[in-house]
Amino acid sequence: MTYVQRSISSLDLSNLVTCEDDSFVISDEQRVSLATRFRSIPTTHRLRADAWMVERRGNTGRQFAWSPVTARRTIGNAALRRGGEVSSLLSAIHDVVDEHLFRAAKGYARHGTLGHWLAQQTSPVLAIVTAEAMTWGTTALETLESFGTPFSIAHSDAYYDVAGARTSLRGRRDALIATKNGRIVVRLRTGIPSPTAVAGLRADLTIDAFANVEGCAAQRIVGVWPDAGIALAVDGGESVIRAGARDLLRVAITQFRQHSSVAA
Amino acid sequence: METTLVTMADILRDGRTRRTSPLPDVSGIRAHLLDGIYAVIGGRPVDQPVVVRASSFRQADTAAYTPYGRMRGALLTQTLRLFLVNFSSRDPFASAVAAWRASEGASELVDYFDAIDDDERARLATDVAAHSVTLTQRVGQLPATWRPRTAVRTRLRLGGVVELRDHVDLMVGSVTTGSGVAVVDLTTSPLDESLERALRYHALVESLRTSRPPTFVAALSTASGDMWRCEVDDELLLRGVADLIAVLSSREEQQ
Repeated sequence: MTYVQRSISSLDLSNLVTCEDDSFVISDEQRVSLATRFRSIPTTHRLRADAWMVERRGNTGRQFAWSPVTARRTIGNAALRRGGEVSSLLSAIHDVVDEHLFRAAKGYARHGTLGHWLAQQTSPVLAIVTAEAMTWGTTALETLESFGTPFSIAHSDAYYDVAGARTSLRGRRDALIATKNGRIVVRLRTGIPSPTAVAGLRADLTIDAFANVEGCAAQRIVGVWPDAGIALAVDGGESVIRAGARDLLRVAITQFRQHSSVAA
Repeated sequence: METTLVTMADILRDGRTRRTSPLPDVSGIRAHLLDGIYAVIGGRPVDQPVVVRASSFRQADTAAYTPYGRMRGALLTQTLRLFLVNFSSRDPFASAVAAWRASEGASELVDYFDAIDDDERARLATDVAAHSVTLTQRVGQLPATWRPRTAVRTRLRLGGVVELRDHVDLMVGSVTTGSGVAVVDLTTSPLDESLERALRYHALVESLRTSRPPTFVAALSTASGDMWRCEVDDELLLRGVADLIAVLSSREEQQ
């Protein structure tokens, strides 16, 4: 199996976490080879690449802006990580929002960060951010419980700075499921999967592998679209990692060209 | 179907202990629906999938589907969301507008809201305040263990030719535990037959999405304070399929 599509029923999701294959490990040569290719892009700007850009073939469209919808994943996941520490998800979300506001009040929140944005909002907007995070967190919990196996919420997304190439890669991951031979990465998405959704999952899987100190790739990445009732799974073999790296390189080249044309 | 004056939390709690019918077979319902879609649309290719929403089942002349009614509905949805995260305000209209602008962003309805005159805005404000009182009295306290979530969206593609979109105001319960899920529709108009069709649509879409039907669908009218609760069984889902096929057939005839 390299790629499959399933429904989000408990039966289908629990079948996606039975994985016998050994994890693929990125060699030092492969890491150096990736860095060399990224370094060959003569950019004067800092380049950033992630699965969203891969899915959009490098055309990111509108600039990112914080809103209740864009804030819900960060806050909802942070609240889920505190699962056992608070009496309910709502209390955990209130705690997370309060911490962001506290950091902003102390002057620790940089311009453009979630804390900085939250600090500028009125109380009804903060409440609607809480409501969005509540819906995200509950949906995430429902979905992850449907796998029928223990899971942990990821501490952070996977970040990989390519040495000497002024390029940062960001792989999103929402939860991790430990298996006998490795791990499975779970990503939660909204809406319906686009025709390029598999390429996006491949990119997340690739970045997660490069961000791992030992270069150990996840056995599988499962993207779940609860709104659409669909789950897509991509296995973490060598060919998939190579294809993911190629996609990320293409995004970096597209970004470089866009910067160059704007400068000209 | 029953009408009661207790809170929504009460009727959902009561319903959990009273369920009698077995859970419907979703795969059979799905197959029945796909057969029906094929009978209406056939195998012909379509450029864009036919989009069906819960509003497709509401009467065209229902007051809730005028721009004014839609704005009132949108603001009451925000009020519900604020209420469920324990936010209270002396000015429910101003709070709902702030929350609505933040979550909706730019839209046709927001533009309409910006264009209304002061008199109409004042009328809307009193309307929303009055409906908010009914809402907060009738929803009741939902325990955290029920996992209440609001504004839950669904987009399902069927056979590449039909897209079912849904927006559920409130959902409680869990698909992974025994009691299942309850779907609640909030309306600012009185409960009527067209709302029954919308409830069946909510039940059908949720069943297709998770492969497990919700235990109940329920409705709360902030106009009258009336509430309905329907147990989801095979008959309800089959009627939901028939409603959906009827909507698709009427769209085909119009083309």
